[in-house]
Amino acid sequence: MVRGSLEAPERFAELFDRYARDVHGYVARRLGAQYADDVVAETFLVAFRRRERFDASRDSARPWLYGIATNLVARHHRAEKRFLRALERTGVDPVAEAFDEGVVARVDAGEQQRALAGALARLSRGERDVLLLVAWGGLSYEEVARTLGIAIGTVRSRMHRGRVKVRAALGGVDPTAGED
Amino acid sequence: MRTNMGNTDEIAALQTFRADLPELGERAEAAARADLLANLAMRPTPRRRPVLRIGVGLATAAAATAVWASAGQLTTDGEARYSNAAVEVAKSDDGWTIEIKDGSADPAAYREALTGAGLNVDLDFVSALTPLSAPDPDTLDDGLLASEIRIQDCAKGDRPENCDVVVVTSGKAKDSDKAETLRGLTVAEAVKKAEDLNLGVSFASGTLNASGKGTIHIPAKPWTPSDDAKISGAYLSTPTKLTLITEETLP
Repeated sequence: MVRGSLEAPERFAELFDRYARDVHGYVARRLGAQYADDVVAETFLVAFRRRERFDASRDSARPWLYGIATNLVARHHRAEKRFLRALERTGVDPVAEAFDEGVVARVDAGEQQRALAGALARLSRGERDVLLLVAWGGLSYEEVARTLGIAIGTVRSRMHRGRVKVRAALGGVDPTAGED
Repeated sequence: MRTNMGNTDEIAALQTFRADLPELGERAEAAARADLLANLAMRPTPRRRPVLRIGVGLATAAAATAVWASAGQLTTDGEARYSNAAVEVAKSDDGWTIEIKDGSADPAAYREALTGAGLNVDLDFVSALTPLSAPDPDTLDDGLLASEIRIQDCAKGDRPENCDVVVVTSGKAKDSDKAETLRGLTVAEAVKKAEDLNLGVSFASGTLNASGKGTIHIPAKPWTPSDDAKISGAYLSTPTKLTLITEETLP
Protein backbone atom coordinates (compact mmCIF):
# COMPACT_ATOMS: atom_id res chain seq x y z
CA MET A 1 0.00 0.00 0.00
CA VAL A 2 2.80 2.37 0.89
CA ARG A 3 4.69 1.48 -2.24
CA GLY A 4 1.54 1.94 -4.26
CA SER A 5 1.20 5.42 -2.91
CA LEU A 6 4.47 6.40 -4.54
CA GLU A 7 2.76 6.37 -7.88
CA ALA A 8 -0.74 7.16 -6.66
CA PRO A 9 -0.64 9.41 -3.60
CA GLU A 10 -4.39 9.21 -3.17
CA ARG A 11 -3.89 5.59 -2.18
CA PHE A 12 -2.14 6.89 0.87
CA ALA A 13 -5.55 7.72 2.29
CA GLU A 14 -6.14 3.97 2.53
CA LEU A 15 -3.33 3.85 5.02
CA PHE A 16 -5.08 6.50 7.05
CA ASP A 17 -8.35 4.59 6.96
CA ARG A 18 -6.67 1.45 8.17
CA TYR A 19 -4.48 2.81 10.95
CA ALA A 20 -5.53 6.32 12.00
CA ARG A 21 -7.79 5.15 14.79
CA ASP A 22 -5.12 2.89 16.25
CA VAL A 23 -2.42 5.53 16.13
CA HIS A 24 -4.77 8.13 17.55
CA GLY A 25 -5.64 5.86 20.45
CA TYR A 26 -1.99 5.31 21.26
CA VAL A 27 -1.10 9.01 21.13
CA ALA A 28 -4.23 10.03 23.04
CA ARG A 29 -3.30 7.71 25.89
CA ARG A 30 0.05 9.43 26.10
CA LEU A 31 -0.91 13.06 25.56
CA GLY A 32 -4.66 13.49 25.46
CA ALA A 33 -7.05 14.10 22.59
CA GLN A 34 -6.02 17.63 21.75
CA TYR A 35 -2.38 16.78 21.20
CA ALA A 36 -3.35 13.50 19.55
CA ASP A 37 -5.32 15.22 16.79
CA ASP A 38 -2.28 17.24 15.78
CA VAL A 39 0.25 14.45 16.25
CA VAL A 40 -1.76 11.98 14.19
CA ALA A 41 -2.25 14.46 11.38
CA GLU A 42 1.47 15.14 11.34
CA THR A 43 2.28 11.44 11.58
CA PHE A 44 0.56 10.77 8.30
CA LEU A 45 2.06 13.82 6.64
CA VAL A 46 5.53 12.74 7.72
CA ALA A 47 4.80 9.20 6.56
CA PHE A 48 3.69 10.55 3.22
CA ARG A 49 6.83 12.64 2.84
CA ARG A 50 9.00 9.69 3.76
CA ARG A 51 7.10 7.00 1.90
CA GLU A 52 10.05 6.39 -0.39
CA ARG A 53 12.03 5.26 2.61
CA PHE A 54 9.47 2.75 3.79
CA ASP A 55 10.95 -0.70 3.83
CA ALA A 56 8.69 -2.61 1.47
CA SER A 57 9.80 -5.89 3.01
CA ARG A 58 7.91 -5.02 6.18
CA ASP A 59 4.69 -6.87 6.66
CA SER A 60 2.73 -3.88 7.85
CA ALA A 61 2.99 -0.12 7.93
CA ARG A 62 1.54 -0.10 11.42
CA PRO A 63 4.82 -0.29 13.38
CA TRP A 64 6.33 2.29 11.04
CA LEU A 65 3.49 4.71 11.78
CA TYR A 66 3.78 4.05 15.52
CA GLY A 67 7.48 4.87 15.28
CA ILE A 68 6.81 8.18 13.55
CA ALA A 69 4.09 9.01 16.06
CA THR A 70 6.40 8.15 18.95
CA ASN A 71 9.05 10.52 17.63
CA LEU A 72 6.45 13.25 17.35
CA VAL A 73 5.19 12.55 20.87
CA ALA A 74 8.76 13.25 21.98
CA ARG A 75 8.19 16.92 21.16
CA HIS A 76 5.68 17.00 23.96
CA HIS A 77 7.44 14.81 26.50
CA ARG A 78 7.42 17.53 29.12
CA ALA A 79 3.66 17.82 28.79
CA GLU A 80 3.39 14.05 29.00
CA LYS A 81 5.36 13.99 32.23
CA ARG A 82 3.42 16.91 33.60
CA PHE A 83 0.12 15.11 33.02
CA LEU A 84 1.41 11.92 34.60
CA ARG A 85 2.72 13.73 37.65
CA ALA A 86 -0.56 15.58 38.03
CA LEU A 87 -2.45 12.30 37.96
CA GLU A 88 -0.06 10.77 40.49
CA ARG A 89 -0.35 13.77 42.78
CA THR A 90 -4.04 14.60 42.55
CA GLY A 91 -5.73 11.43 41.31
CA VAL A 92 -7.33 13.42 38.51
CA ASP A 93 -6.08 12.68 35.02
CA PRO A 94 -5.67 15.75 32.79
CA VAL A 95 -5.61 13.46 29.78
CA ALA A 96 -9.04 12.01 30.54
CA GLU A 97 -10.35 15.45 31.40
CA ALA A 98 -9.34 16.68 27.97
CA PHE A 99 -12.05 14.48 26.47
CA ASP A 100 -14.90 16.84 27.03
CA GLU A 101 -18.60 16.72 26.09
CA GLY A 102 -19.26 14.46 29.01
CA VAL A 103 -17.91 11.41 27.27
CA VAL A 104 -15.73 10.59 30.21
CA ALA A 105 -16.91 11.35 33.67
CA ARG A 106 -14.38 12.91 35.93
CA VAL A 107 -13.46 10.05 38.18
CA ASP A 108 -10.69 10.03 40.67
CA ALA A 109 -8.15 7.43 39.74
CA GLY A 110 -7.50 4.49 42.01
CA GLU A 111 -4.26 3.92 43.81
CA GLN A 112 -2.92 1.62 41.13
CA GLN A 113 -3.51 4.15 38.37
CA ARG A 114 -1.79 6.84 40.41
CA ALA A 115 1.13 4.55 41.08
CA LEU A 116 1.38 3.69 37.40
CA ALA A 117 1.32 7.36 36.47
CA GLY A 118 4.15 8.07 38.88
CA ALA A 119 6.16 5.17 37.56
CA LEU A 120 5.68 6.21 33.95
CA ALA A 121 6.67 9.77 34.77
CA ARG A 122 9.90 8.59 36.31
CA LEU A 123 10.95 6.39 33.42
CA SER A 124 13.44 7.82 31.00
CA ARG A 125 11.91 8.77 27.70
CA GLY A 126 13.55 5.81 26.00
CA GLU A 127 12.20 3.39 28.55
CA ARG A 128 8.73 4.89 28.33
CA ASP A 129 8.68 4.73 24.54
CA VAL A 130 9.67 1.09 24.47
CA LEU A 131 7.35 0.03 27.26
CA LEU A 132 4.32 1.80 25.81
CA LEU A 133 4.96 0.70 22.24
CA VAL A 134 4.86 -2.86 23.53
CA ALA A 135 2.06 -2.48 26.07
CA TRP A 136 -0.22 -0.12 24.17
CA GLY A 137 0.94 -0.47 20.58
CA GLY A 138 1.26 -4.22 20.71
CA LEU A 139 4.57 -4.08 18.86
CA SER A 140 7.09 -6.89 19.15
CA TYR A 141 10.60 -6.17 20.39
CA GLU A 142 11.87 -6.54 16.82
CA GLU A 143 9.32 -4.05 15.55
CA VAL A 144 10.20 -1.56 18.29
CA ALA A 145 13.89 -1.88 17.47
CA ARG A 146 13.25 -1.29 13.79
CA THR A 147 10.86 1.60 14.20
CA LEU A 148 12.97 3.47 16.75
CA GLY A 149 16.25 2.66 15.02
CA ILE A 150 17.81 1.06 18.09
CA ALA A 151 19.38 -2.32 18.72
CA ILE A 152 17.14 -5.09 19.95
CA GLY A 153 19.43 -5.44 22.94
CA THR A 154 18.63 -1.85 23.81
CA VAL A 155 14.92 -2.62 23.52
CA ARG A 156 15.33 -5.56 25.89
CA SER A 157 17.35 -3.59 28.42
CA ARG A 158 14.90 -0.67 28.37
CA MET A 159 11.99 -3.06 28.74
CA HIS A 160 13.68 -4.74 31.64
CA ARG A 161 14.41 -1.49 33.45
CA GLY A 162 10.97 -0.12 32.71
CA ARG A 163 9.23 -3.23 33.96
CA VAL A 164 11.32 -3.30 37.11
CA LYS A 165 10.41 0.31 37.88
CA VAL A 166 6.72 -0.18 37.17
CA ARG A 167 6.63 -3.34 39.21
CA ALA A 168 8.33 -1.60 42.10
CA ALA A 169 5.78 1.20 41.93
CA LEU A 170 3.00 -1.37 42.14
CA GLY A 171 4.57 -2.77 45.26
CA GLY A 172 5.95 -5.91 43.73
CA VAL A 173 9.41 -7.22 43.08
CA ASP A 174 11.63 -7.50 40.06
CA PRO A 175 9.47 -9.45 37.60
CA THR A 176 12.45 -10.91 35.82
CA ALA A 177 14.40 -11.94 38.89
CA GLY A 178 15.29 -15.57 38.63
CA GLU A 179 14.82 -15.71 34.87
CA ASP A 180 17.65 -17.07 32.85
CA MET B 1 6.63 -14.37 33.34
CA ARG B 2 7.43 -14.79 36.98
CA THR B 3 5.48 -12.74 39.43
CA ASN B 4 5.52 -12.54 43.18
CA MET B 5 2.46 -10.40 43.50
CA GLY B 6 -0.48 -12.60 42.84
CA ASN B 7 -1.11 -12.86 39.14
CA THR B 8 -0.64 -9.18 38.51
CA ASP B 9 1.88 -8.35 35.90
CA GLU B 10 3.04 -4.87 35.13
CA ILE B 11 2.33 -5.04 31.40
CA ALA B 12 -1.23 -6.14 32.07
CA ALA B 13 -1.52 -3.35 34.62
CA LEU B 14 -0.24 -0.84 32.10
CA GLN B 15 -2.77 -2.06 29.57
CA THR B 16 -5.53 -0.93 31.91
CA PHE B 17 -4.01 2.53 32.21
CA ARG B 18 -6.19 5.08 30.38
CA ALA B 19 -7.75 2.16 28.54
CA ASP B 20 -11.22 3.65 28.70
CA LEU B 21 -10.55 6.81 26.73
CA PRO B 22 -13.00 7.21 23.88
CA GLU B 23 -11.82 6.31 20.40
CA LEU B 24 -11.37 8.83 17.66
CA GLY B 25 -14.91 9.77 16.69
CA GLU B 26 -16.19 9.23 13.18
CA ARG B 27 -16.70 12.92 12.53
CA ALA B 28 -13.26 13.80 13.81
CA GLU B 29 -11.74 11.00 11.76
CA ALA B 30 -13.53 12.16 8.62
CA ALA B 31 -12.32 15.72 9.22
CA ALA B 32 -8.76 14.56 9.77
CA ARG B 33 -8.92 12.44 6.62
CA ALA B 34 -10.13 15.41 4.59
CA ASP B 35 -7.31 17.54 5.98
CA LEU B 36 -4.80 14.86 5.11
CA LEU B 37 -6.03 14.58 1.54
CA ALA B 38 -5.94 18.35 1.16
CA ASN B 39 -2.39 18.40 2.43
CA LEU B 40 -1.33 15.54 0.20
CA ALA B 41 -2.74 17.35 -2.78
CA MET B 42 -0.43 20.26 -1.99
CA ARG B 43 2.58 17.95 -1.63
CA PRO B 44 2.56 15.81 -4.75
CA THR B 45 6.27 15.15 -4.79
CA PRO B 46 8.25 13.54 -1.98
CA ARG B 47 11.01 15.86 -1.00
CA ARG B 48 13.78 15.98 1.46
CA ARG B 49 13.64 18.52 4.19
CA PRO B 50 16.11 21.33 3.54
CA VAL B 51 19.26 21.28 5.56
CA LEU B 52 20.11 23.93 8.07
CA ARG B 53 23.65 25.11 8.38
CA ILE B 54 24.94 27.59 10.86
CA GLY B 55 27.92 29.66 9.90
CA VAL B 56 30.47 29.20 7.20
CA GLY B 57 32.94 26.86 8.72
CA LEU B 58 31.96 23.28 8.80
CA ALA B 59 31.39 20.40 10.86
CA THR B 60 34.38 18.85 12.35
CA ALA B 61 33.80 16.99 15.56
CA ALA B 62 33.81 19.89 17.93
CA ALA B 63 34.36 18.91 21.53
CA ALA B 64 31.71 21.11 22.96
CA THR B 65 31.28 20.92 26.68
CA ALA B 66 27.79 20.88 27.99
CA VAL B 67 27.21 22.33 31.39
CA TRP B 68 24.15 21.41 33.34
CA ALA B 69 23.48 24.82 34.66
CA SER B 70 21.23 24.21 37.59
CA ALA B 71 23.14 23.41 40.69
CA GLY B 72 21.41 21.34 43.26
CA GLN B 73 18.94 19.60 41.02
CA LEU B 74 21.03 16.50 40.70
CA THR B 75 21.21 15.00 44.07
CA THR B 76 24.00 12.47 44.05
CA ASP B 77 25.79 12.86 47.34
CA GLY B 78 29.42 13.75 47.76
CA GLU B 79 32.12 14.52 45.27
CA ALA B 80 31.62 12.91 41.91
CA ARG B 81 34.30 12.80 39.29
CA TYR B 82 35.14 10.14 36.80
CA SER B 83 37.51 10.19 33.90
CA ASN B 84 38.45 7.69 31.26
CA ALA B 85 39.93 8.00 27.79
CA ALA B 86 36.61 9.00 26.32
CA VAL B 87 35.04 11.39 28.73
CA GLU B 88 35.44 13.23 31.97
CA VAL B 89 32.47 13.73 34.24
CA ALA B 90 32.76 16.12 37.15
CA LYS B 91 30.49 17.92 39.54
CA SER B 92 31.10 21.60 39.82
CA ASP B 93 29.44 24.52 41.52
CA ASP B 94 27.34 25.00 38.40
CA GLY B 95 26.19 21.44 38.20
CA TRP B 96 27.69 18.62 36.20
CA THR B 97 30.28 19.14 33.52
CA ILE B 98 30.69 16.38 31.00
CA GLU B 99 33.58 16.80 28.61
CA ILE B 100 33.93 14.58 25.60
CA LYS B 101 37.58 13.73 25.08
CA ASP B 102 37.14 11.14 22.37
CA GLY B 103 34.11 11.56 20.20
CA SER B 104 34.57 8.21 18.51
CA ALA B 105 34.78 6.09 21.65
CA ASP B 106 32.60 3.09 22.26
CA PRO B 107 29.32 4.17 23.86
CA ALA B 108 30.15 1.81 26.70
CA ALA B 109 32.96 4.18 27.69
CA TYR B 110 30.52 7.05 28.16
CA ARG B 111 28.17 4.82 30.08
CA GLU B 112 31.03 3.66 32.31
CA ALA B 113 32.07 7.23 33.11
CA LEU B 114 28.56 8.39 33.92
CA THR B 115 27.92 5.40 36.11
CA GLY B 116 31.32 5.85 37.74
CA ALA B 117 30.43 9.40 38.64
CA GLY B 118 27.22 8.27 40.25
CA LEU B 119 24.92 9.04 37.35
CA ASN B 120 23.15 5.76 36.87
CA VAL B 121 21.17 6.86 33.89
CA ASP B 122 19.96 5.63 30.58
CA LEU B 123 21.82 6.86 27.53
CA ASP B 124 20.14 7.82 24.32
CA PHE B 125 22.20 8.55 21.27
CA VAL B 126 20.75 11.19 19.02
CA SER B 127 22.04 11.64 15.52
CA ALA B 128 22.76 15.30 15.42
CA LEU B 129 25.51 17.70 14.78
CA THR B 130 28.21 19.94 15.93
CA PRO B 131 27.14 23.37 17.03
CA LEU B 132 28.07 24.53 13.55
CA SER B 133 25.59 22.62 11.50
CA ALA B 134 22.09 21.39 11.90
CA PRO B 135 21.47 18.87 9.16
CA ASP B 136 18.43 16.73 8.71
CA PRO B 137 19.29 13.43 10.43
CA ASP B 138 18.44 11.62 7.22
CA THR B 139 21.23 13.39 5.41
CA LEU B 140 23.98 12.68 7.90
CA ASP B 141 27.11 10.91 6.88
CA ASP B 142 27.99 7.70 8.60
CA GLY B 143 30.61 7.62 11.31
CA LEU B 144 29.05 10.11 13.65
CA LEU B 145 31.12 11.37 16.53
CA ALA B 146 29.89 12.16 19.98
CA SER B 147 30.20 15.86 20.62
CA GLU B 148 28.15 16.43 23.70
CA ILE B 149 26.31 14.76 26.52
CA ARG B 150 23.28 16.47 27.90
CA ILE B 151 21.25 15.73 30.98
CA GLN B 152 17.79 17.05 30.56
CA ASP B 153 14.19 16.91 31.53
CA CYS B 154 14.84 16.91 35.26
CA ALA B 155 12.21 18.23 37.57
CA LYS B 156 13.37 19.84 40.78
CA GLY B 157 14.30 17.18 43.27
CA ASP B 158 14.51 14.45 40.68
CA ARG B 159 17.17 11.85 41.12
CA PRO B 160 19.57 11.78 38.19
CA GLU B 161 18.39 8.40 37.01
CA ASN B 162 15.00 9.95 36.35
CA CYS B 163 16.46 12.39 33.88
CA ASP B 164 17.03 11.83 30.22
CA VAL B 165 20.66 11.72 29.21
CA VAL B 166 21.37 12.27 25.58
CA VAL B 167 24.64 11.82 23.76
CA VAL B 168 24.59 14.13 20.80
CA THR B 169 26.60 12.93 17.87
CA SER B 170 28.09 15.13 15.23
CA GLY B 171 27.97 14.70 11.53
CA LYS B 172 28.30 16.45 8.24
CA ALA B 173 25.36 17.16 6.02
CA LYS B 174 25.61 15.38 2.70
CA ASP B 175 23.49 17.93 0.98
CA SER B 176 25.04 21.13 2.20
CA ASP B 177 24.27 23.12 -0.94
CA LYS B 178 20.69 23.23 0.24
CA ALA B 179 21.71 24.55 3.62
CA GLU B 180 20.32 27.69 5.12
CA THR B 181 22.31 29.85 7.46
CA LEU B 182 21.05 30.47 10.97
CA ARG B 183 24.16 31.84 12.65
CA GLY B 184 23.84 35.58 13.05
CA LEU B 185 20.08 35.61 12.64
CA THR B 186 17.85 36.89 15.39
CA VAL B 187 15.87 34.47 17.50
CA ALA B 188 12.65 35.50 15.77
CA GLU B 189 14.12 34.85 12.33
CA ALA B 190 15.59 31.50 13.29
CA VAL B 191 12.38 30.31 14.94
CA LYS B 192 10.48 31.14 11.76
CA LYS B 193 12.90 29.05 9.69
CA ALA B 194 12.63 26.16 12.12
CA GLU B 195 8.85 26.30 11.98
CA ASP B 196 8.99 26.21 8.20
CA LEU B 197 10.91 22.96 8.53
CA ASN B 198 8.45 21.45 11.01
CA LEU B 199 11.07 21.49 13.74
CA GLY B 200 10.26 22.21 17.34
CA VAL B 201 12.51 24.73 19.08
CA SER B 202 14.14 25.09 22.45
CA PHE B 203 16.83 27.46 23.61
CA ALA B 204 20.21 27.36 25.29
CA SER B 205 22.73 30.04 26.02
CA GLY B 206 26.31 30.15 24.86
CA THR B 207 28.85 31.73 22.62
CA LEU B 208 30.59 29.45 20.18
CA ASN B 209 33.67 30.37 18.25
CA ALA B 210 34.04 30.01 14.52
CA SER B 211 35.10 26.39 14.81
CA GLY B 212 32.05 25.56 16.85
CA LYS B 213 33.80 25.16 20.17
CA GLY B 214 32.49 26.74 23.28
CA THR B 215 30.39 26.13 26.31
CA ILE B 216 26.67 25.67 26.13
CA HIS B 217 24.54 26.40 29.15
CA ILE B 218 21.34 24.43 29.12
CA PRO B 219 18.61 25.99 31.23
CA ALA B 220 17.00 23.89 33.90
CA LYS B 221 13.56 25.05 32.83
CA PRO B 222 12.28 26.02 29.41
CA TRP B 223 13.59 29.47 28.68
CA THR B 224 12.95 31.90 25.86
CA PRO B 225 15.41 34.66 25.05
CA SER B 226 14.37 37.96 23.57
CA ASP B 227 13.32 37.96 19.92
CA ASP B 228 16.27 40.07 18.86
CA ALA B 229 18.97 37.98 20.55
CA LYS B 230 21.57 36.68 18.11
CA ILE B 231 21.96 33.01 17.22
CA SER B 232 25.42 31.68 17.97
CA GLY B 233 24.87 28.07 16.97
CA ALA B 234 22.33 25.30 16.91
CA TYR B 235 21.96 21.58 17.06
CA LEU B 236 19.25 19.01 16.65
CA SER B 237 18.46 17.77 20.12
CA THR B 238 16.10 15.15 18.72
CA PRO B 239 15.29 14.33 15.12
CA THR B 240 12.37 16.72 15.36
CA LYS B 241 13.64 19.43 17.64
CA LEU B 242 16.20 22.15 17.13
CA THR B 243 18.01 23.76 20.03
CA LEU B 244 19.05 27.30 19.24
CA ILE B 245 22.06 28.62 21.11
CA THR B 246 21.81 32.32 21.68
CA GLU B 247 24.32 34.84 22.97
CA GLU B 248 21.84 36.06 25.56
CA THR B 249 22.79 34.86 29.03
CA LEU B 250 20.44 32.86 31.19
CA PRO B 251 18.56 34.83 33.83
